[in-house]
Amino acid sequence: MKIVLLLLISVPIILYPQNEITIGYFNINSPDNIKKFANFLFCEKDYLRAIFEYQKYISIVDDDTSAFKIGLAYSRLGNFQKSAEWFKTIKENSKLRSYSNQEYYASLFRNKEYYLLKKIYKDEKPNELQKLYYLTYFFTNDSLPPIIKFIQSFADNDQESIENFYELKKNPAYKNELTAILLSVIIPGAGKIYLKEYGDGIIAFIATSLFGYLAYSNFNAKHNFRGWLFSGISAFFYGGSIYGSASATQIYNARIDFNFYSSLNSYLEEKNYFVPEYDFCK
Amino acid sequence: MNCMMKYFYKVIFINLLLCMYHFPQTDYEKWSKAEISYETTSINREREYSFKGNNAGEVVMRTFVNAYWFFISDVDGDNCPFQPSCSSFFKESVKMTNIFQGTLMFADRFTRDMNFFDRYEHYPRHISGRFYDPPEIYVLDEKNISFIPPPVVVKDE
Amino acid sequence: MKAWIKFYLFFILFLLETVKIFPQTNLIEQFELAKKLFKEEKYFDAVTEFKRLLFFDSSRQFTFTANEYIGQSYKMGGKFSESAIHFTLAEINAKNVEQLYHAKIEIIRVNILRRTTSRAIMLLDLLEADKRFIEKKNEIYYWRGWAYIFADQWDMASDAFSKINPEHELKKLADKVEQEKFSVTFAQISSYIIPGAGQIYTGHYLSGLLSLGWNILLGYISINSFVEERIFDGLMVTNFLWLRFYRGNIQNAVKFAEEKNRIISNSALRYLQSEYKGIKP
Repeated sequence: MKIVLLLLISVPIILYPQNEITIGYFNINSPDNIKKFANFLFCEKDYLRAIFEYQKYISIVDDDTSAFKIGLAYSRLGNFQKSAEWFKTIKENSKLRSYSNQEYYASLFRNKEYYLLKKIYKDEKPNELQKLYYLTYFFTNDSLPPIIKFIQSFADNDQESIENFYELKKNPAYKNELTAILLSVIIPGAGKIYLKEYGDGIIAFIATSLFGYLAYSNFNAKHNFRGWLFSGISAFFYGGSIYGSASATQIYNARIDFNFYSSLNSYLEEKNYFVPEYDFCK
Repeated sequence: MNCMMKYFYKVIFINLLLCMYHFPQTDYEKWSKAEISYETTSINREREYSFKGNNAGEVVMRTFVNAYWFFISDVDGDNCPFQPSCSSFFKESVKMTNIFQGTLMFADRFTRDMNFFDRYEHYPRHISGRFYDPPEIYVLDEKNISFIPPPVVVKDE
Repeated sequence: MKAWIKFYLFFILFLLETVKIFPQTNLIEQFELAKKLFKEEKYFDAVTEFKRLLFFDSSRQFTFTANEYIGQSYKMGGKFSESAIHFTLAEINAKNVEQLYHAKIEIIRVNILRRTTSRAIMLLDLLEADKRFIEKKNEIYYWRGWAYIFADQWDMASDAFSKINPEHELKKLADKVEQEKFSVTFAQISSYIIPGAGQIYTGHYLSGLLSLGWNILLGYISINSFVEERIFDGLMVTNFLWLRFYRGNIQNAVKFAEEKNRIISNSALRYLQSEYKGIKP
């Protein structure tokens, strides 16, 4: 009798601390364990593996948080098309709905779907999309809306930066190709100097004028062959200077655009595209 | 001292590795078994000697360029600080456009070659150490210009 | 009284062991699954399953082995830095000297493949100095030889292999490569003395003769200008033409010698990769 009682008392006492395990069997591939492993991979930034595990979990248990994390993982991998698809699957009544909407719009933006975002904004006018809607104007060639409307969608501490970008987009410091060409026609190398390529401009001027002078002095000395030779070389440098001014204008303007977009993109990355950040790995 | 150095190396190395462990960038795409080759590759310039051309101007150009390469350029060493070299630039320019525009592009390149200053601030680098200056950006077609800022190192030809 | 206490204690222990056995059995199954994926060359999936094993292995029974397999998987995928990380984790978690040694050798092999051969050699030096591995000297010399092969130092590789066995197959290969190689120094110096000589030495006869021709012609023109007291002309020809071709001749001699040597090394490396039957990095 005592033995039986003791046995009955012992069994739960021994088994109770092993709370991870149902009596006798631990299933490494149980939905709960798949989710735990997926969370671990996500926090280790092993996003692709985390995605595969979350997908396995979602096929068994319908879970919005996991779907949201798949979207986040794709976003961090740079696959914005897939991340947008996953953010869209979050249901209306989910507590993550508002966040997933913002992430969805940010994914579309990062996937360069500016016209789609404009259409969504015009049709539905969702509040969460307002900032990104105005930002799309920086990436398209449509005429900019008035600055007041533009900057009032942003918080006070962001308005100054947005206003700077607005000014740069509206009035980029481009150089004029025709001006550069004409300057080089009049004075060889002047077009390059207009484009701030001082070294190239001076060399072009020296080369053209040196060989021009040599041509002139040889013709004067009745050395016709040398005269024509140096004329040809001078014309070569002169033509190169004019052509070079035209192409350098295009490169100069491309540099202006590049600098604008790289600083704008850095700014947006820093602000996380105006989407709140959450840390699932605290 | 030897023990200290060993310990020092180990600590630094482990810290670096543990940092890298948390950023498995190689697993951003599913990968499979790789073909690993023991052989090394050359970084020297490869020259393509052919007379193929789409028009008479191109054939004339190829004749001059090949003759220049054979008699002069291959013998006087690597003197061009740019990638592609000036003669290759001329060849590519004529192929992309025509002999007249190609000659003008070459004239501009030659002028820029004579300018020893500002190269580091103006041109990106190529992996071979030379300055990267492809002919595509000089054909007067804005769509062809993909601007690369100077500190960047370009790996492909 | 004593009998039932003994029985009771025995029963408690039995229960504890039984409850522990089942999770371990499940981990063993997971380990076998991961190994199966590895054998089937599905390396990405194998890494996932080994990581899963590590995550659930609270008793750290599989830490060494799983990290080793992950390291091997990354190595097969050509991801050498990732591989080195996991082999280092295996090294940290080695339970005995044999496991420690094995992990260290794997790290060295990955460094060889990654061509960070100076690091491999440094690690081999540490291994050689470690008294625990005194019986493994031959294996250490073997990997030292490989490290020198990948560092393109075939003479040092030959020395390393000869310490294992003076008639070692790889020593003979290294000696053959070293013998066939051109001397870059000789090519360079001979080009300083006679322009074009270095290029002819490396088999580029036409280029060598052209170089010689240009140097003779321009040398004659330069010296003639100085002799006729046309100093400016002489300086121009010397600086912009003669020196250019002279420098080019030396540059070509070095370049051709190095290129020929690279072809010779690559031929040996190709043999090692495809036909050599011994253990490779």
